[in-house]
Amino acid sequence: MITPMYKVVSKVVGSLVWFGCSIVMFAQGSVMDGVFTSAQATQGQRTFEAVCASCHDTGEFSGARFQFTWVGLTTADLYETIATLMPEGDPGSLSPEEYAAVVAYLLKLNDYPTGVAPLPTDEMVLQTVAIVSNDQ
Amino acid sequence: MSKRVTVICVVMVVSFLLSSAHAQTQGTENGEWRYIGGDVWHTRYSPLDQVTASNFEDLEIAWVWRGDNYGSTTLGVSRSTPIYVDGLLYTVAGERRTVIAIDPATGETVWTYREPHTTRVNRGMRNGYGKGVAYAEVDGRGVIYVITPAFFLHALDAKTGRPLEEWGQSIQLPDFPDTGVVDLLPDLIADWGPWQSWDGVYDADLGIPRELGHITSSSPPIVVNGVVVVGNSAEQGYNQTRIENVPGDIMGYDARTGEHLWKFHVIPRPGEVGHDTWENDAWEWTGDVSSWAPISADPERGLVFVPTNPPTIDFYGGFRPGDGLFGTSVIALDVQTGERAWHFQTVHHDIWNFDNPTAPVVMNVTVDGTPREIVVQTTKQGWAFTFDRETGEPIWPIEERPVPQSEVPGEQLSPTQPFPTKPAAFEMQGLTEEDLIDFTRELRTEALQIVESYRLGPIFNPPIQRGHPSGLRSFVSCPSGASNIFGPTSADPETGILYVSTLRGCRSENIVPGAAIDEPEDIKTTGRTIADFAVLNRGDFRGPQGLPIFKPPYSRIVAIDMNTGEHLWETPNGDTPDRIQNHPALEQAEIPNTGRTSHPITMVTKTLVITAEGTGGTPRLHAVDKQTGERLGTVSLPASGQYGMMGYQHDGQQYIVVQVAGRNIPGSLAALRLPKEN
Repeated sequence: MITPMYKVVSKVVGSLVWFGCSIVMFAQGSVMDGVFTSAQATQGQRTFEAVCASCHDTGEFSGARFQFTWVGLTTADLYETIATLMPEGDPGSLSPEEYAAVVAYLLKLNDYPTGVAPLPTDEMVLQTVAIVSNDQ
Repeated sequence: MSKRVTVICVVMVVSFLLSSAHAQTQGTENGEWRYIGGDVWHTRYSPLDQVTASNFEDLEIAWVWRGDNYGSTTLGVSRSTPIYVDGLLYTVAGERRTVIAIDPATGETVWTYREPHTTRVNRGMRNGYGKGVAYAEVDGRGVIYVITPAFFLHALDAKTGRPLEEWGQSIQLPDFPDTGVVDLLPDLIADWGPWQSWDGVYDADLGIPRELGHITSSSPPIVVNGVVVVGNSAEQGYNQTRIENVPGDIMGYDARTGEHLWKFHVIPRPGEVGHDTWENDAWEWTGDVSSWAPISADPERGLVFVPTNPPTIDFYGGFRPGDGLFGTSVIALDVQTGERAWHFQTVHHDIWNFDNPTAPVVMNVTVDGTPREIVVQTTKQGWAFTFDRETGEPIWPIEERPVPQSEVPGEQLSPTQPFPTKPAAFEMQGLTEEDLIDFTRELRTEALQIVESYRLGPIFNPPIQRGHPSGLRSFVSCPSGASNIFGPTSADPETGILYVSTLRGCRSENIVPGAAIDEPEDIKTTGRTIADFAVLNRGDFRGPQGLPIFKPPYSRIVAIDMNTGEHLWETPNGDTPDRIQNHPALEQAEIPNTGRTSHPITMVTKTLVITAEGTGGTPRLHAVDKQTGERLGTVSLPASGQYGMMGYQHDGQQYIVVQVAGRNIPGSLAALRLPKEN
């Protein structure tokens, strides 16, 4: 059976669109690219101190522990973990912007560079930002 | 005399003797709250009765004392339970553990005392963990005692906050007072081998080198029969990677002079009871076994009851084979000599972070018709270990039962662990598929898929390391902290009912090579030798779609009649959180009251159990029927209640002070009282 041309064109176009989207979705930018702002990290620090520090020391989220835990994953994994589990007693109770700011603070704690735009709250976008070793 | 009259007389005499026995030190007296646990028994009971079920909802906020500005950062937590003595409230605040005296009617700060700065406070690992102060009367004068994060003991005049004259020792550090202070470190390490072998001179500003270890404190001391009993804290074992540390020995000081009286070795030396439970000579160099939770006492017997932490480090103990006394134990010590009266180890060779987290509660009850003077330790495992407080004998049998063994290289767990037969466990005992969320078929299916990656098992499920041949991500151990410091246990000495705060939870830590996560330059890293394994983080064991993976209730208050050992009632803590009630996956599901996902806090009065919902709970205070658990009333708080509360009577009025903190309010105290016209 001969495949009608419109179906071929449709499949080719569809594939190109899918491929293009895939490039957007899986293009691996990284936390070395300046994906948060200094002001956002400062805001995240305030939130961390007010909400998180009563149970958590920053040492749990910096240095070798951070590198061992998170390198190879994405900022979406870090964001989702915090937003799903924390704060204890009332997880999910912070705003998306507050969770993103806490993530920015943790990235700053680990000496990742700041940039000109804040870390977004859209998990699809956060998936495109890989957490890579900070000694690169 | 007829036989009938004789019987009546015997019954009357026995009744009198029983009532006399039960009249000792029950609850607080004279409207005061002299210990952070209310009384020296740590019952958190107040016999005040102005606030009742009928007027509870008339309670109004009298004042709020805010904990801002007592450190370079604002603490978003309120750990310290105030005491009330002779017309003043006393508490601590901030990371310097500043001592505060507060006017009980208005909340006005009356005086403060702040320890001068030292380098060693910068190394503090629990600086913001202060749980309060102790009080005693010395030669007719009230004295406040506090242990600071830098591990100094201070004695202050209760009325003025000034250091006590002719007390303690002169500390050769800038700005320290000439009197009223003891540096606890020299007394602690004087006979400790690693310090004696250290080629260096003691520096009071620096403390001990972190290569040897680190010690601080969180709970206040307790003063019993003229002796200040000093406990201590180590850094959390789940944050450590190295095997050496300083043992958390218990010390006694003369309340009148500050003289060091005695020391109890929590890691027994050669010739001491328990020394043979340490293999590999680990007693020589490992440490911790701290008594970070509060200590309670029986002054008539001259005993203090000390709850302890495991040895260094959590989740891997391959370098310290053996049961490791007196790790994770309850120890009864003679307060005059520091000699051990009895002990009971509640977890052998503890690696699960099952430290005893609350003060042992002292009670008098009647078991099978016989008066029994008991002490009860509620635990993270969900048990109420109950002992005769004179002998340490279990009131009900505690059985040694076989438990699973570890597959982590080098780890040797105890083949058995102690299981109380009564009272029944107040929390889940391990995690099985039966325990998984079943609100909907889809959620249950997701939960089953999640647990396929984990090793489920009973309580004392042993850790497995990352890269385990099974391919599993981690182990799951439940409960993780059923009874915990977040919600101290309370009790009614008049009825013998124990009120336990319990939270459902599991842990699934990732166990990795210690060298992979060791931080040599971190000022909080202690010791020299990196353990073969250490815990990377506290787990990522999540339920489906952000919901808890297990069935509710997520937290409860459980009332246990300690006369019978039977559970009397249980009630969920607060109401179902909105995030669960309104969860899109639960639109068609029947949801019971799940309770909050936090430890409730409680205190008991003559008339009520009073409870708040814990960190992250709704900012409300509830009145609960002591006999049934029925909620009788609710009032609002400025923020969620947490860690504890207390009560007192001042100028004829009953007050309830709740420790609160929330998003827009730092660690604070909220005082409630009835309107004047009541």
